[in-house]
Amino acid sequence: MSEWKNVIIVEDDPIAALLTKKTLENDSAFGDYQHYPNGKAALDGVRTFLAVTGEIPDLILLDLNMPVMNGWQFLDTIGQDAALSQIPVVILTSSIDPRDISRSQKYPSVLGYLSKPINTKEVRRLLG
Amino acid sequence: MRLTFDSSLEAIYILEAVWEKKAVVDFLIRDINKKAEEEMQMDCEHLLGKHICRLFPINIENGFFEQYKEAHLSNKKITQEYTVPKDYPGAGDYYQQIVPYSKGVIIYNRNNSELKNTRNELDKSQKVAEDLDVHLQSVMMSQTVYILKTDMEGNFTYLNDYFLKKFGFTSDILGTNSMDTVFVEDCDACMEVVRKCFEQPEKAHSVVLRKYTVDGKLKSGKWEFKALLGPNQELEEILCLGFDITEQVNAFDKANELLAITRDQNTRLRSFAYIVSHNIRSHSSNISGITNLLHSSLTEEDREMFLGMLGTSTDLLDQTINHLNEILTIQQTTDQLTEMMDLRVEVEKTLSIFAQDIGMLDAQIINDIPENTRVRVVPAYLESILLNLLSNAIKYRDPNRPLKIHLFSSIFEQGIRLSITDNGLGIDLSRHSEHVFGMYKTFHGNSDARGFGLFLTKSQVEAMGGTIELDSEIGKGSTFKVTFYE
Repeated sequence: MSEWKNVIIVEDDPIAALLTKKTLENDSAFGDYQHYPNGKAALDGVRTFLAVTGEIPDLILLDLNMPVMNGWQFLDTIGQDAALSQIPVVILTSSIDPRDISRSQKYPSVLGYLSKPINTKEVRRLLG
Repeated sequence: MRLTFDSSLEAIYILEAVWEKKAVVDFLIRDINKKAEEEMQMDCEHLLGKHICRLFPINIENGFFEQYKEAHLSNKKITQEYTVPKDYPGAGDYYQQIVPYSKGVIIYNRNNSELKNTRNELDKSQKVAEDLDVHLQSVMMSQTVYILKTDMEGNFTYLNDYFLKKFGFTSDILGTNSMDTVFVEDCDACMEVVRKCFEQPEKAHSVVLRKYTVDGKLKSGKWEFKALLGPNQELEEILCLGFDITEQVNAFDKANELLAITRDQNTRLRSFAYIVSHNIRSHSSNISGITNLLHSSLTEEDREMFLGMLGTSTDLLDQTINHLNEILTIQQTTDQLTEMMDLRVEVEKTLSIFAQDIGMLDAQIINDIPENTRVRVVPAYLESILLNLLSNAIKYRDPNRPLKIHLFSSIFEQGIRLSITDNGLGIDLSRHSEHVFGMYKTFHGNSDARGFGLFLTKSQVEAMGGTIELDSEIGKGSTFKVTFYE
């Protein structure tokens, strides 16, 4: 039985997205996942998920540098929504810019900041 | 008679010659008056009947005895001035007359010390006055200080030659209002310092002012204003002394400008380092992730797929490193050879590359750049800039209306500005203004957008000392303005 059934992957790089999916598939703690290529698409997806199931996803794995709507804009938008701001977010990025790390700590829904490639042990540690 | 003798302001000595073997060997002091007693600082009784040379051998040493003798023997009056040194009784400056009489000589001594002191003081004062005059003249003729005076209405009443020369004015400016020469932004500061002169006329008040020269250029000066009072202590004029600090001000501005550039470059370098790290890591982390998965149990199909992705990631890493090399090359070779190029001709060349796209899209291209619009550029950079900007205008066109691109140029004092206006999708600058020219930034979600073109364009424009700006509005279009400086 998966502990985190519904995982959202927000990632514009198709190879990185596929790697994340395959890595999650190899860990039984994680269940279904949905992939979106940018923050805007993910926002639409999460809202639809909420409307259809009446639930919020268990986890969002969020990249920062993306076209159309980047990770920060996505965090700002969900932060203003009572339901969506409850979703745990783990940032998964290639950036090691300390300004990005300290900025991410200002968002209450962000559990932690991880460097790619994904390591599910670290994700589980952050989720407690 | 005695009273007159004693009340004389001169010391009087009556000396009688003492003869021995037909020679005068000394003089007896027969009588002296009160003034002489004061001069000798001895009472009459200690002096009368005494041999003067025996009592005061100095008379022989300093030659007085010889003079008394000469006056007596030749029967001729001797007049002279002498000084008794400080440490002797009766020290001071004297005027002396040695008048012969039948038995000897009468000596009249007048202490001239006070008179001489007064005369010395007078001489000194005159010298000081002369020096002051020379100094004043030299100050007024100064080649380093501006000296002006104005009346209480601010009209010039005096201007030194240095000011006239430096500002190119003639003395015709006398009587005109001094505020007319003050830079408009500094008029308030000037009025403020004049107000202080009224309030505290005893003090000098400082201010930095920019003033116009006769040909309209600005000079910065550090000025001291001081009220000049009339005989009844009423404010009469304002004296203004100034130094030219234009060069210091310019150097200070230049230093600040350099500081801003350095700060900007530092920030850009730091950002660049993180961008480089991010871009390389995004591919290297994929390679590392794929390699990890290849070690796990995979279907043959997945293994094939991951091997293909490994190849793609390696190619992308190589491409990123090539991009970085390209950027570093531009940033390092700012001294690339520049040439004067015809902007209209170069735009036409680039448009011909896109002729097929333009024809297929039925796009309207208006090239309003005048002939012979010449700009100094690195030819390869200009070609790359035009290619990038025009290909963006075509790529990000609005599918709901025919593409229209308008190119025009404007000439200004320091150079030429090229504007490229399109009616395409536009970029939301309220969200993206900081990132438009950033590396690997894309805005429209196009799968072939790599976010490298505008970063490269900006680097090339700046490497030639130019600037690039963007005006854009979603749904209306974009205008890129590239400025080429002389």
